[in-house]
Amino acid sequence: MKFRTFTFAASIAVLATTAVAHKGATGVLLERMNGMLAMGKATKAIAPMMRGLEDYDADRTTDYAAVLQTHSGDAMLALFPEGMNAAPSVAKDVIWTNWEDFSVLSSQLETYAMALGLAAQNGLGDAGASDGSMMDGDMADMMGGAVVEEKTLQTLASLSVSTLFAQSAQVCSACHTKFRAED
Amino acid sequence: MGVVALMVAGAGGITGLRLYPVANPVEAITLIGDVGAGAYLARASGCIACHTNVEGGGLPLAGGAGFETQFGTVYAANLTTDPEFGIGDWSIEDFAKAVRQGLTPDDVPYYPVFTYAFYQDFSDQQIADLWVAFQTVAPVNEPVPITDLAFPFSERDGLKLWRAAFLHAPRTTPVSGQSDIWNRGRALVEGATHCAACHTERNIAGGRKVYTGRMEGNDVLPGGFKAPAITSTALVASGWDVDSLSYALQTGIMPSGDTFGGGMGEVVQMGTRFMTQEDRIAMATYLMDQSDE
Ligand code: HEC
Ligand code: HEC
Ligand code: HEC
Repeated sequence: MKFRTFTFAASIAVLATTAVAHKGATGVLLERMNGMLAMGKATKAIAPMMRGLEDYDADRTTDYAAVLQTHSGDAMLALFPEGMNAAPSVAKDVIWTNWEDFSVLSSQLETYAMALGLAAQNGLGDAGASDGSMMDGDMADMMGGAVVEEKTLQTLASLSVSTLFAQSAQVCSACHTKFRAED
Repeated sequence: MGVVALMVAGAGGITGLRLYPVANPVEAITLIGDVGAGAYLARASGCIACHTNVEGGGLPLAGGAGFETQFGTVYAANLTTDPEFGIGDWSIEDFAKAVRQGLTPDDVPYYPVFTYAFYQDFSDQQIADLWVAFQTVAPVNEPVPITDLAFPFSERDGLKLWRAAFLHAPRTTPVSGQSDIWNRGRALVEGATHCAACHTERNIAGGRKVYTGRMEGNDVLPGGFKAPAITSTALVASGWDVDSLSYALQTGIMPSGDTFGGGMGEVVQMGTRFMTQEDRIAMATYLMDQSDE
């Protein structure tokens, strides 16, 4: 059974992502990359809708949220066993010396995914707007001094879908900034 | 000027250089600043990103994390209104000289990790705006670590030679025949948002290769980051257009669906995402058509 899952994952990788086949990743590393790539593909597919360039469809938001949820939180952490970053991986060593921050980001993404799922029916909101934390005329925030509110599922689920989408992308980017090296 | 000559001169002639004047006269600035415009410019220019130690949980503008360069570690200063460790006892003219000329109140050069080269064309109004915005920042009575570079780079006076060789004027002057949007984008990209600071390769002395390597990428950024080429040609080749680029500056999402990492994630999170849609579109418009090169 394990073997079947593996070959299945591997054949998807060959079909869908020549990049990974080319990088020659195997095992947990391949699974990890496929998880990330699945989120990347889903993000690419949904971005035009999130920007208001395509009609809003709540079901697509729900599906997208499910993809992120599958690949975030503990599921993501499980694919980063200690020290597992030999080439072709571009994961940085600091992941394991700063596991706490890494796990917080992974679980934040999961929280955003759940919030997106709950908020899907709220509608897109103002797609042209930024992520809500900026030009509110809040000078403290502009000069870097905003109080960071705790992001609970409940407070997040009351936000609009476009805001949640933009903020969840910030979580991806924050983790890539800190924990991923460039090729 | 040869790099070796520069280094030898830097090591040998420092005493003489101490007396070599570099400052341009600073006129009194009496304009009334606008806090909102100043905060916006501070965001766009990366002042907040560099001068806040986000990693270390530092307070806003109380001083940045160290920049590990080939020459040693440089720390971004405390820019809060604290008179002892910040800039609380500075005049607006001191501030103008630091930002536009890269010189301390006593005319000693700052290290070029501080991106003042890109701010040289800031108008008096922009300086006044920044100044009043910085006045709103609460004082933090804490020093930043001492910058620790190897000789001759430890000698700030040696930087006068560096400046003579490598301090280039920003390419911010409007080009006639181009649209207002394009020129606005050019001023932001080549000036305030200093994209070339990371995306242009540096020579062995840390000077930007502005003639041969403009926006051609850089493999040796502080912290081990690498920045790819962002010439118009390179951007087109990697699948960017005005729309996807302005969107990436807002969200960090690239055309592939992946998101920025490296120093670029920070540029967006701490800077460009706070900008207006119009400004991001202007920047993307210029970047996709850097046609006067
Ligand atoms: C908690 C940290 C973390 C979060 C959150 C995260 N990533 Fe990643 N991501 C990584 C790391 C680390 C790598 C490099 C993995 C490797 O090479 O071993 C990576 C790699 C990738 C890759 C490249 C995969 C490849 O092999 O080419 C893509 C695409 C990607 N991530 C997309 C996303 C998207 C989209 C999100 C948000 C929806 C996201 N990631 C959230 C840490 C994270
Ligand atoms: C890329 C990082 C970076 C950016 C962006 C940046 N700075 Fe700095 N800044 C530094 C570093 C590093 C120093 C210390 C230089 C030195 O020690 O020679 C510095 C020094 C200064 C100083 C001197 C403070 C003192 O006490 O002597 C001032 C003033 C200053 N910066 C203002 C600004 C302003 C205003 C902006 C935005 C318009 C800005 N900086 C953007 C990195 C940066
Ligand atoms: C602090 C250094 C730094 C600054 C400043 C910076 N960049 Fe970057 N940039 C990077 C790095 C590092 C990468 C690679 C990111 C990655 O691998 O995730 C990058 C990647 C990019 C890419 C992706 C290129 C590609 O091949 O797909 C674009 C576009 C870009 N930057 C545009 C800009 C623009 C526009 C600015 C000015 C607003 C800017 N950058 C300022 C460091 C920087």
